Amino acid sequence: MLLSSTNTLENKDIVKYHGLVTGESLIGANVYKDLFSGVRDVVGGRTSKYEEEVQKARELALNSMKEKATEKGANGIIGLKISYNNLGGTMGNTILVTAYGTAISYK
Amino acid sequence: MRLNAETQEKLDDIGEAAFCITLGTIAGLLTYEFCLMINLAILGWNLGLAFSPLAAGYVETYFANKYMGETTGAVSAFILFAVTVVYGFIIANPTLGFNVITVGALFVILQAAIPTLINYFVIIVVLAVISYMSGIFKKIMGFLYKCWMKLKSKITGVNYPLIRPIEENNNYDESLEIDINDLGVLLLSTTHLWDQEIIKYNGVYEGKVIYKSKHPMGFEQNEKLLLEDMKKVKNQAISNLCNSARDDGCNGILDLTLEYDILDGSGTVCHVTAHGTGVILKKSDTWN
Repeated sequence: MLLSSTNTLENKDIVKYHGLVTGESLIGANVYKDLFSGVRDVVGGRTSKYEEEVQKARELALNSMKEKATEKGANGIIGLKISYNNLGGTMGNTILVTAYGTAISYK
Repeated sequence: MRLNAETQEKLDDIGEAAFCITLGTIAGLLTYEFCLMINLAILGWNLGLAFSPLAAGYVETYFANKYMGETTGAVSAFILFAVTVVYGFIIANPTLGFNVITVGALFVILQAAIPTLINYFVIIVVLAVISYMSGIFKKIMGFLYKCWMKLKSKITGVNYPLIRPIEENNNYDESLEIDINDLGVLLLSTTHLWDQEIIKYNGVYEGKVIYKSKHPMGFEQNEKLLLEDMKKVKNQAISNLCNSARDDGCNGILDLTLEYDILDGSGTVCHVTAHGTGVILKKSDTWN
């Protein structure tokens, strides 16, 4: 599955547009507890644990989106956008990771 | 005209009470003025708001006890309440004119002045809130609407619809299962189509949904429920976007963008927006 944030693909013919595909994942409040328990991970203001969790959530969202594209018979996703949104407050400082793009078939 | 002894005594009592109330009010006003003068404030709150009614009540009660042997009900404290609320919140700082404290203070003053009327008012408000929350109010209004429409149809001979037309709903509806690619509009996150003809650009369209979380966080199960809700909310926002674009004859949305914003400080209300450019595309095998 080819992923691209561009509008078209150079030297490729887009033969079909399948529409919008999305993928979501959530980084839960438990991550913060894990972060506080692993203070030794904090080096120069960065926490490896935090980066790991964000990376994991991003992968989950992308995989979910790719699965949907595959189901539609697409072999590429263009105009890809990824956003991170802190839902905060009583929703438990959860971070919603959203990936979406246009599923296409190209040759 | 000569007054009898009883009436004379009553008038004396009223005079003494008025004198005590006046003394209390003067003491309260002086305290408030002093607090304002030295700017006795914590976090923007002038302590005169609390001290002046206290001083007024204390002075009034002290003199009432001394001269009359009984209290006069700390009337000057309520007068100072009114004065400080009107001056502090409305005249001196009009940006704080209408808030919970102002309304609360005014309510206390009114409650002291006309308790029976205010209590009836509170009962009516409580009943109205309960009926609104439980949906009884809506049912009653629906019934009245039906009756009125039937009567109107009878009188005019014209058939009017008995159900109110549904207005655009921006609130999250849990029961809606939407397939975003089955809405009759081609959704694209790209700004243009490859080798496709765009007949007309119809402008920017937007679909939004307000979502209020019902799941307290910290439990894995609730996080899963929240994620499922967010997926549905997003689909509903896209569906609202498609509906408004389709009404104008659009069959495609370009540069579709999703946004998630937390609206209130406590973070319980999420506003999900889908917006994009509505276009009329020439029918093609590349999409349909």
